[in-house]
Amino acid sequence: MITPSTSPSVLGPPATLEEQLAVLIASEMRDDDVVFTGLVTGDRTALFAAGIPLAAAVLAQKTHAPNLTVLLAGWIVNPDLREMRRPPVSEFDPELLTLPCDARGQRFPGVMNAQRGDVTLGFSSAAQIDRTGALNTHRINLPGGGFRALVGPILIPEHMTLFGREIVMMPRHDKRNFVGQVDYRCGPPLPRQRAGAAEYGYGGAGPSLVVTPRCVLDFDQEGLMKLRSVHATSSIDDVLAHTGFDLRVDSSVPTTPRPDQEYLDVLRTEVDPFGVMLGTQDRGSR
Amino acid sequence: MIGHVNGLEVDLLAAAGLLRSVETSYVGLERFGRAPNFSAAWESGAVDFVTFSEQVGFDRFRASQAGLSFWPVIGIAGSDLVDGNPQIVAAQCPITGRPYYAVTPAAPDVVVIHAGRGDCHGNIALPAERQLSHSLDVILAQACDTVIVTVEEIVSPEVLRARPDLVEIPAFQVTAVVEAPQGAHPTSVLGYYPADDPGIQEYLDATSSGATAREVCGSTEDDYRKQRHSASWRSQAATGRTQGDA
Repeated sequence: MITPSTSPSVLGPPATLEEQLAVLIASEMRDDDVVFTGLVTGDRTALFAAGIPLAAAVLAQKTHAPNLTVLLAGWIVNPDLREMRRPPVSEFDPELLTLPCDARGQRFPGVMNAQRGDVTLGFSSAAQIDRTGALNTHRINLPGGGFRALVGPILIPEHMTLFGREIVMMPRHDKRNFVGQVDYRCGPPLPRQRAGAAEYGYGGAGPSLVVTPRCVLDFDQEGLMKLRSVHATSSIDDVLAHTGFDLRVDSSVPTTPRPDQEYLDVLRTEVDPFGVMLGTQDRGSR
Repeated sequence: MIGHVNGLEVDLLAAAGLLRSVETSYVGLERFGRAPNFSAAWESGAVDFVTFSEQVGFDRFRASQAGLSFWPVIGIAGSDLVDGNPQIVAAQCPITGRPYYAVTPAAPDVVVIHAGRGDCHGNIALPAERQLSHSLDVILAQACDTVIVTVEEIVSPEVLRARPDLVEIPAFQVTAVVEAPQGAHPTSVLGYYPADDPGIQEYLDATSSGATAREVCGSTEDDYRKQRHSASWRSQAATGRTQGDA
């Protein structure tokens, strides 16, 4: 483990949005967290929904949360990603077998027993989300009738009920993604999720944070989405103009905090030195 | 088709017009995006997508493996998955009274899996270095009375008897073993060959330009190899085993 106070300060370019969000998400992680990050496909989606959370979890391990556990794709425990030259291309990429790690689950059921509550923090992503935090990865209704096929619910239902808490990474923030009501609920609306925790006895708290290229959102006591902070590159008006429902905005909404320089240094030197996870490979010399 | 997480195999059956319904949590091609032929068939109503979550998709095969008539589930509560699917039924724990959903077993008529090595009796070995997904194949093989295993190579029984710990599917659980070298193409087999990415893209391009599955795949194995194995993959596959060797 490397503590920020002992790592050398590296002068470099200002943080990219991806780096800023990785530091922000790392700060949400606790020392006793077991973090599930999946492998999501599609370049922008993969960066947002897989690269940033994975970098954040390893950053948290190397700073304030040395005992945190990373469950990559639910079967690789605490991977060492420093030597990785390209992101894994699939959930069972053969190259994952060459990744140094603490443990590699070879069996199902195995290292991740979701219904027992093994996972305390998960990450997900979707084409649609609504103000109740319900996600849709399954199908989109078309205006003239019919629908457009997406890929199916995958593990979203379990993310939203069985994982301790959930951070939703939305790679796109437009009115067609932030909708009044999702066309298919792959997980429960948060008010129903909370009622269901008592009724069904599942341990998950549902979505706690939603991160987008424009802002960070969380949920109020009624389980409805509200604006937590706005990125410096956006504004409240910009967020509202690209949100398809009446978003709760408090009188004072801060700007999303700039990343701590020491965390940024660790991120660049110890977590993702080749820029593989955060898509900074092509950036000039640091 | 009954699966848990599905891809090209479902897309190809849809392209061939041979698919009526699929019970699964995902049909997609990972880095290649949506499965276009399946998507079109589902959107047109020609194919039904009976929707389960990923965990439930796995557990339905565990129910069949254990010979159970249902599997108890809570993780899908509150979602739209529980509505309108007669295979998901609200239930109650007879001991605690806690609510559950009872889900039907997978109950496939035939299971088909692909593996590295088998012998003439039908013993099937997994690589020593393996991935979690291999154990899902073992569960599938043990969830059905009719199991067809295609293998990269049939080896002598003595070879497998030297490493009986790797034989995760013994012959009595196998109905038929078929030698089908490169039989998982264009997907990968650990220890034998990687995925044929250009080959997958060519398949997608060919089917999107209206070619039939027969035209795309050819009528014989030789046709298939000539038409579908990309040049770059052919040279990679020729180098033989890559990793995960027993």
